[in-house]
Amino acid sequence: MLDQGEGRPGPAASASDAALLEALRAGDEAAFSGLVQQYHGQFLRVASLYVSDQAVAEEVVQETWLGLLRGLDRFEGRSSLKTWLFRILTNIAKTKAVRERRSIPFSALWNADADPDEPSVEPERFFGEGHRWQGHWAPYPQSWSTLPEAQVLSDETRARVEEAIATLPPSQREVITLRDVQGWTSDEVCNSLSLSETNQRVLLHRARSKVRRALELYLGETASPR
Amino acid sequence: MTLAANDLTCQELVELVTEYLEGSLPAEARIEFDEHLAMCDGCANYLDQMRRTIEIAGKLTEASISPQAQESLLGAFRGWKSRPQP
Amino acid sequence: MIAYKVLRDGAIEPFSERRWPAPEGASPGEWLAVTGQLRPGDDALPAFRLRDLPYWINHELWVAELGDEVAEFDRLVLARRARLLRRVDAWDRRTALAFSEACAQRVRDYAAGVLRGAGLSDEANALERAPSLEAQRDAGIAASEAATAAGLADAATAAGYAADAAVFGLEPQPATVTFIGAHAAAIAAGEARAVEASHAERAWQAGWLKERLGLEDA
Repeated sequence: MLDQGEGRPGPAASASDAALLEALRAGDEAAFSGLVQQYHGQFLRVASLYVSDQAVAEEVVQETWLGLLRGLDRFEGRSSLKTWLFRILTNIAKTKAVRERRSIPFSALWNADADPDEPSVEPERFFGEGHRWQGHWAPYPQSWSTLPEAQVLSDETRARVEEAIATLPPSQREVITLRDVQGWTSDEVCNSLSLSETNQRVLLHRARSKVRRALELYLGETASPR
Repeated sequence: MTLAANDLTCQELVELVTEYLEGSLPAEARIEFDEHLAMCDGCANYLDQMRRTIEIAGKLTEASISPQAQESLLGAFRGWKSRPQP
Repeated sequence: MIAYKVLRDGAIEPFSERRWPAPEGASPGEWLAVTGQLRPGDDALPAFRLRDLPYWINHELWVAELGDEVAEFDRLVLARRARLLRRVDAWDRRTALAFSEACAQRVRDYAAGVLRGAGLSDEANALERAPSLEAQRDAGIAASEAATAAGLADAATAAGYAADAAVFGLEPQPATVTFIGAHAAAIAAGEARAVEASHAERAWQAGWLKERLGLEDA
């Protein structure tokens, strides 16, 4: 049976969580509908980290809510509601992923993700050994504040970032999705993914470095010459 | 050169950016980092690029739930509401 | 305690992007207060003593008053409470250019000394005679290439610094020029006195700012 347990102790259910839980247990339909709407997009994105098929991802999300209902009476609030729902979701997603025969991005295997010595920026971008400015930028990175704001915040730019995240190694993709796309705190991510703070930071660092690089390439292509 | 050996290089700085933004650099390293930013527009630009990247990531749009899926879940909730209570 | 702030347009602290309340008329800006440990980071307010300024100087220069406890570090002080008193209007783009040029000319002179010492008198003379920063840049590049070809590493580095200082002096990016100045002074002084010479150069830089801008010691 799927583990609906509350998992590793972490940030406990907050006062707002408590109020929401009370409303749900009292059968407040508006509270339930609101919760579903609030988290739908996020859950879909997270489910997509584990299953490749969009329809399957939507099933995962639907089943997560059913899982909430099944466990609602027993939920003790030792973890936050968000963390608990995330745990239900990932359990369901991983089970379906196994059936899909897709490799599962267990964050505990973060070492397997990338060459541990991979630098954030290619060494060629800096002056080399023997130069008086060894280790310093050769051409400076561009200031994006000189680009039209409309371009930097455009749909096209967002799509590029979306794409760059989608092509990250799985553990890096998980961390940057939860931290930067969905705004989870470092503690929430560490607890949900069972990562140490250091491991989480390394994954985040690598992920952000790659996405920045992809964005730099895109914006560099489209910037008008000086 | 003794003097240069103490300097933080740009290549080293870019590996510390995430810790900087997380606020987890030790005090001395944090000051060195800021000092480097003051004298290196390249790194100032890099930090800004990184911040913008994070900002854009935070603005990625989320799908909305379809009315059918919403209805279906509401049905499940109503079913749960009428569960036998101890 | 009186100290200095370097802020961008709109009284914004560089890199933290914290907005400082600006003075209105003759009244100081409102007190900015943070609660947290006096350690570098988002929870403490940085400010500079006069001797720190060469490391940070750029954009707009302001005089600030620091309240309560301060923690002193090598290149800055941290406070929990601070307010802006007034802007140092004398620090504007023109002054920044003048400062940068003065610092860059010292790099030129240090480089000329190193070149001469390495036997490259012609290149040293050409550098010393450069009538403008543009000319200094060109002479520095030429000298650096000559020194490299002759296998004279320190001379090549020093001449390179002279060119770099000129380039950044033309922008101006004063904090970059002062950084190069410290390195040029160090290489001219030789390994044994490198650190001492760089500190002396920093002190000279601070002295220039003090005199030209009428700053009080902080």
